[in-house]
Amino acid sequence: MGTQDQKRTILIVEDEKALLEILKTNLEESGFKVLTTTNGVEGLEALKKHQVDLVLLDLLMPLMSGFDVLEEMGKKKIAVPVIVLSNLGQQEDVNKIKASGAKEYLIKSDTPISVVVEKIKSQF
Amino acid sequence: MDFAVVQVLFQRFLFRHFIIMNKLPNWLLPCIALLVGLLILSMVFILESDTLLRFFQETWETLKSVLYTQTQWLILFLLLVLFFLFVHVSNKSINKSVYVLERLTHGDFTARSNLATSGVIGRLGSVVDRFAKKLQASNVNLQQDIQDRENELKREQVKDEAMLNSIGDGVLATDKEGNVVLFNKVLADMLGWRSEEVIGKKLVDVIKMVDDNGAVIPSAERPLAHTLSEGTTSSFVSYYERKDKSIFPVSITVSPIIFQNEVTGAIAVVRDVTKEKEIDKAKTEFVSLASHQLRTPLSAINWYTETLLSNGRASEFSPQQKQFVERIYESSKRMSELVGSLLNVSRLEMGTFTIQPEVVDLMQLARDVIKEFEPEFSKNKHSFVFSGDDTIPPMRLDKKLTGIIFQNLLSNAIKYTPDGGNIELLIKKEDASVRISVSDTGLGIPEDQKDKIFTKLFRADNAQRMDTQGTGLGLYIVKSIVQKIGGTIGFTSQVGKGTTFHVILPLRTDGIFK
Repeated sequence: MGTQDQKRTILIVEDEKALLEILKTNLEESGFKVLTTTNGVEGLEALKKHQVDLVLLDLLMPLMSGFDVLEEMGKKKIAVPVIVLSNLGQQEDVNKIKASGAKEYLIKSDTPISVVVEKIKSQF
Repeated sequence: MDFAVVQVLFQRFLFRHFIIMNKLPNWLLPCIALLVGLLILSMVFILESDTLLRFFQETWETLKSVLYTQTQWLILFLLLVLFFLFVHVSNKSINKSVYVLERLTHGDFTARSNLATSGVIGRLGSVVDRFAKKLQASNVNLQQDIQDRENELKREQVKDEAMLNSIGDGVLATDKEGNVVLFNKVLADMLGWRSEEVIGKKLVDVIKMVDDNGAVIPSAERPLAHTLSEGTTSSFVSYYERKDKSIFPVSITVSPIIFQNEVTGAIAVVRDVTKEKEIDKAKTEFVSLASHQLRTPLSAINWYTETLLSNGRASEFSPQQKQFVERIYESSKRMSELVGSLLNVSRLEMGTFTIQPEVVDLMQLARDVIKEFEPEFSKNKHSFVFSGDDTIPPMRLDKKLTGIIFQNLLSNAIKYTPDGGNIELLIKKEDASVRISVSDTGLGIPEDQKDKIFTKLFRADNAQRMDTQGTGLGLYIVKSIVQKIGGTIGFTSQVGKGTTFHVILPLRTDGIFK
């Protein structure tokens, strides 16, 4: 994998454009290379094409949800760490995500963006 | 043999004898006398005349000797004869009076002796007759009274039944064994049973009660059993099963019927709350959906303002611009918290706040929450003290829910304690429980508002004056959570001095949460 001075690549899968852009801005300013996709299908394609170090995954999206992305990744044995970023706070959602092997589950409206960036940094 | 017994037997013999005498026809005695006379005459004709003379002479001699030698016996004999003669004469009159008394004892008040003779026996007869007449009169009055009372009772009963049937709620009453004695029409319609099918039977045998999960509640655990044994009133919401096996939600209040300090039965008022439940569910679902939808734009506002305020960009703003953005950020964060609280409330009320017990170090959990609040303590110059108890064993509890208890109590303490005040968090192991106390030197809760402090959306007057931002949801959420996990919550407070909230959680290492 990459060396210390090589930029880490983060794949953001998020259908809400405003959130996608501000995440991209903050992550790029923190020194990451950012790939953006707006649904699960695009996200999985990007994972095939690019070398990705971490996926920042939304749950409720058109075409393919974050749950399905996690399932596909499991089936295809794509071992890229995932941080789920969603506004679904129901316990059963949290359990489902934890069972699928995601590293973190963050509630968007409760988590400052600085914390999101910190959590991503702490994965490396 | 006891003398009294002999007396009684004799009296009974006489009584029966008199009664029989009284019942004999009047012509019978003269007939018997005639027959005896005829018998003597025939004897005179049959026997020879000298034999007869000799017989009389011999009898006379015997009588004379008896007269000279046995005077006392003769006198006694004569007295006896006189006595029986007297008895015979007065026999019939007394018989009549006794007969009347006999009839009276059998409830026949119309019998009369109708004795017109003077003297003691005649007076006895008339006294007995007057007595019988009075008895008859009072009996007539008594029966009239009874009839009146019965009519009145019937009218009351009809009125009560009409009232009970007119009540919009279902009403049933049982005796102390739980047998149904009253089952009004509304309840009958509600459950699909006819009153006659239920009355006289044990309620628990006919009408099943099920819980939220559809499991039948055992009869011993039903509130009726509790009310009958404890004599207390209880209100609750549960589900009844109709005759056709369908179930529906009901709100029931069971009260004991107490007569002379004893529980003699129970009365239950039953209301079908299907509509209320539906409305409640719709309302809660709406809140849940709306809160959820609000979270996405709120996240955007939070993240953009936060980014604007980050080191690199804040310097590009004029001081006023920077202040404005800060205001937007603060308000948006508050809105996020409010939406979070609303979501918690709707989850608690919908029952979707599933409990996820895990092994947790309560002290560590408390320290984590305290860390979150440290900036707040220093901002408000509050001196904060944490007294923990390291003997508390690891507990199985829901981290998130327990965290909310700490967060809400501490955030209230901070919000309502003036700058420079003291706040203390105390965690202490007691016998089979853990006590969590949060004390402050803040506003205190006004005496007249203490009973409303855990009510949803309620905020005490002095709290509203000091801080207009509270939601009135924090303590409601804390209490709901504490109750859900089988604990209790209470407080002591004095206006101007401060408040202490204490939460008692049962200490069960095998799983504190049900």
